[in-house]
Amino acid sequence: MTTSDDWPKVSTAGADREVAALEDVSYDAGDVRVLERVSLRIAAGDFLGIIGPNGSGKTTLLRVLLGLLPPSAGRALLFGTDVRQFRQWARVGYVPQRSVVEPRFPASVFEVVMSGCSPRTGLLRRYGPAERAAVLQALETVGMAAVRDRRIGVLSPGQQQRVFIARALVHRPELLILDEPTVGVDVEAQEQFYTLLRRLNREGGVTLVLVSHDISVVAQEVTRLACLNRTLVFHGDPDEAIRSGALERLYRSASLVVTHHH
Amino acid sequence: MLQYGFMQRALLAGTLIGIIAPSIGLFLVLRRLSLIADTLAHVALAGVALGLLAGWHPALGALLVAMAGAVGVERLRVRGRLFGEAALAIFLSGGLALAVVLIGLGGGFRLDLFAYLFGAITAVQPRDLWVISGLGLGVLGAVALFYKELFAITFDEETARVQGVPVDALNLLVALLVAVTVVVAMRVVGVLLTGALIVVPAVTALRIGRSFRAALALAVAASLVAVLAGMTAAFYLDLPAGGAIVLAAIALFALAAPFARI
Repeated sequence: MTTSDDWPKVSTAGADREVAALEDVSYDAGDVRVLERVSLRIAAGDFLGIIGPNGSGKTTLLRVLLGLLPPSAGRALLFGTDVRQFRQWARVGYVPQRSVVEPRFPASVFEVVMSGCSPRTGLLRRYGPAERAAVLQALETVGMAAVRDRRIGVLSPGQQQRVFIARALVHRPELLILDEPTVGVDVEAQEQFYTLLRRLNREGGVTLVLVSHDISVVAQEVTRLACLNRTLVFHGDPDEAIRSGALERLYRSASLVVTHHH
Repeated sequence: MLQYGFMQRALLAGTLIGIIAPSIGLFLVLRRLSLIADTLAHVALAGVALGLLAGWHPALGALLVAMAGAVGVERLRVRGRLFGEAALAIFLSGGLALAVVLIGLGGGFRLDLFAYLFGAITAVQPRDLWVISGLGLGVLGAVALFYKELFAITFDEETARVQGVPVDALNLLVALLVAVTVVVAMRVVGVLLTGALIVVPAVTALRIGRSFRAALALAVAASLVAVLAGMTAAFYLDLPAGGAIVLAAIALFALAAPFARI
């Protein structure tokens, strides 16, 4: 993976600037309450990990934050604007779960990353040399420039994941949101992946929100940790989460829920 | 055969149809919406019958009814209350049923209708050519204008939403473009076989193409070869054009098998 020296630093003037927030958000899927009164504040420069057992509402939380699901109560804010009115999508990058890719889809790596230019280019305008240069740079950043003409479906899971990160980075977001990015990715590729995220966060000043069920790795990497199990069980320093026993409680209550259902 | 005026018009119309049908078809096939083309063709048939009954130009009746059908199909699909393709099945059989009833009411236009069902190379009047050219270039222009957004929603609809792409409006646009394509194609290919010309060359291209651009070019090439071969056969062997064109398209699909990457 190449360095991101050429990656211009996002301005972090006013370091405590709020980038995203959930205010008292609840979400009901039919009769089932998936999220219960979750409030969360993400400041510029944070590397926030959101962890929780399967079915704890992690992906739902991201979808509400991105405006893909309307909350049953409360509201989501991006850069201080209610997500329903938010239009500055160039400031946000999103890396969905890799399972959204149809392996037979006829798209080259280059075309996939190019589609990420959309928020900056806007409707009714064609991609030009500036976009092509940005795509190449994003591919260099994630170390995937060599495979730019290959079809996305033939790449390994780890490589596909890096292509999706390039697609999210190509329009230079200030906030990067990743949903279970390491599922199906081998250990070595995972290490490269976290190295890349650390660089983006520390050198590039990109605020990161990462959802995962992989507690041990995430707790090592992030600067802030949110433990979710329908409600927000803990939100703060990762070391504090371990010391206070919040992590243990999170997974003990999860296993109780499971046995309860049987 | 080129010295005949009707054949010149038919070939001109066929070329345009050969370009637009797979251009919209590739997006449909990749989104697993292949059946929409066939559905709207059946709905358009009700429009043809209505046009014949009311004494309008049948293409006008077909256009209005097919576009109304497109809006209806898209609304049912988005609301997602029905299981998968059940919404399409209702529109498909509903369109055919309405057409049959209107034909029964009309009584006297059975011969005219046969040409609409199966297509005829002698059917393109000078006036039709203007309608076909206008509508066809409209479809082509819309696809070119929104190419990058159409690629984005086809590859990954959710991420396109987070990139600020107006996904719902574009989905409706695609349905309307299919309706227009069906009306453009039905004179030459016939209502019952228009869906095949939209879908089959696109599937052929998917067997070979390694990038989206390549797949699109291959789909158009396969479709043009099928249209021209089919029309030539129809002229010399006195065959129904629609049948000959679609059989040629399916032959190309079979010929692509040795080159298939999937």
